[in-house]
Amino acid sequence: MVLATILGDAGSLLLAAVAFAVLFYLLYALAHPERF
Amino acid sequence: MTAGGWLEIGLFLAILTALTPVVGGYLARVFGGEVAFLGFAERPLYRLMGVDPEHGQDWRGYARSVLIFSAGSFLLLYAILRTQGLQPGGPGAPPPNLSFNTAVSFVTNTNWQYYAGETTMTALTQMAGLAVQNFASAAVGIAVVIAVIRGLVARSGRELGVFFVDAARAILYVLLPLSLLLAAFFVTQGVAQSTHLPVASQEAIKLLGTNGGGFFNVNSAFPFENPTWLSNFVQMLAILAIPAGLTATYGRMAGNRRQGWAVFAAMLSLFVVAVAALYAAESATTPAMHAAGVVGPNMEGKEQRFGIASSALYAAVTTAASCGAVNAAMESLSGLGGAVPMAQMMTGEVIFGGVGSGLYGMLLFVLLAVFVAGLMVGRTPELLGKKIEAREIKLTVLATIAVPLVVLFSSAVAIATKHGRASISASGPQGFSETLYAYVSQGNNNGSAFAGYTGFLQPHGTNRGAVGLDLANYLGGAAMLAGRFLPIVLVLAIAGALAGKRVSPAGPGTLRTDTPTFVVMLVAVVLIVALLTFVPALLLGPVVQGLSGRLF
Repeated sequence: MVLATILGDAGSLLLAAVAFAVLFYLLYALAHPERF
Repeated sequence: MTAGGWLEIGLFLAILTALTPVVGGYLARVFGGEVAFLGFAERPLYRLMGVDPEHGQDWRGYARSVLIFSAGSFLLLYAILRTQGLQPGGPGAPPPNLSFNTAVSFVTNTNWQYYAGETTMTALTQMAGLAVQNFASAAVGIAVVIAVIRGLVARSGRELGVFFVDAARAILYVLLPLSLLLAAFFVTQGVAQSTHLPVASQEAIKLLGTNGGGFFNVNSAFPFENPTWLSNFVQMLAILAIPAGLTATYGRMAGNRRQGWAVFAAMLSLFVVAVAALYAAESATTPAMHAAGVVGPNMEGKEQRFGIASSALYAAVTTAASCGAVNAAMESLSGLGGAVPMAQMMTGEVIFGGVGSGLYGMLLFVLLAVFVAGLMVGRTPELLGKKIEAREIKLTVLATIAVPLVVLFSSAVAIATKHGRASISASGPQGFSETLYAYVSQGNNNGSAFAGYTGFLQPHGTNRGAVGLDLANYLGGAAMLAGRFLPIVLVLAIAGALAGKRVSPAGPGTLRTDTPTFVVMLVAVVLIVALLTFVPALLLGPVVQGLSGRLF
């Protein structure tokens, strides 16, 4: 039940996941400029 | 304006300047590993987390740790908020969109609050959820700036330190002890502190960590948070103590204290102009008051017990730092008075700024000033003996324009869409200012608000049946995340690039960065780069309001 409550709205978590994914990608791109 | 008012402002500036080397010296000793009176708690903590304090991280590892720690913090706080309904006797769980905005807000050190603490959060959520992030997010800011300084001054190697160790030391040796002392002091002044109303404890870290999220909706205007003139004065000092002190830490770590004082002088001169403008604007009778036949200073939305000077100074302090605690209604400031907090935030929160974030933001402008000055007088751009080359300048430009872009884009979306306009309560230029302030504040991680801007409706005074507005919560949350972590990743990349560079001794071709000339140059670069970006937006909102005889 606790998990269902937290996940009640997947949109919030999805947005946070996308935001952090973009940040990690930026970090990767900056760390490996030769691949871009 | 009164002599007493100027005296208070002068006294504040004098004490702040005197505190700077004291706080800065202590911070330098803490992060230099010279302070170890809590070693018995530190070592088991590192073992538990599997961290080796002797094994430094390069900038990639450091940035990765910051992001992982912050993402974890977000999930933890979001879970606490969403399960608040399981806590007995509380107001129920806040809706998902508000929980998202609030969790992001506290993890990014913004502490933007669409909600009222007393009707939305339980004491347990405030203590175990929000206050914990007040410590954690402030520690992240301090750790990042220390890593950046290490990169700037490194003589060899690429290591910037260990994120977890820096963050833990920031909490154990700086934030926790100072918060304990400050909370005890607040209790002597009459700030509430009990298990049902844990206000003083939250108040202390709210200010020291430049967080700003109040226990009560009206924040430090409420006597339970801020009862006396002295508590008010100490609150303002607590907000700026660490951001100002860090400039001295920079000077000490750079081995030349004048470097720190130069950055401090640039921040202080911008701050003095802001305070004077705000105090003058609020002391005058506004055009709208003239039209209504009222003469006198603008006391709307201000506490009688604080008056104009203490309210204007607090408003200037809280928006210079990325704190966002308030002791007066920001939306009730006169048109031009309201432009001052916005302008300070629009510099990217570098006028002292947030703990850590203010200094690393200002160091970006230092790099830019060195580069521009170098071009102007034909000298090699160098900082602390390290050559500034193409990669660093590209990253610096990205980092300085990222946040203004986020702010302008989100303000535009919010003002141009039906869902965005649902949050506005005033009309005309004031309605525009509400929107602009909301995204300037969230994008720059300040957290103060023109409170007419709404993202959360509570028809029954509890979370049952309450509705969060999607666009306001999600767009604001995204602006806070981008405004916090884009600059962090970029500034760490710059520190990483500089860490590996050779230090060349200063020669006749070196542009010195510890002189009054450079301070003037730095101030000019901040004003030109940061503020000119926003002048059209300022004209549409606060300036029109300030010139108008109508109330909106």
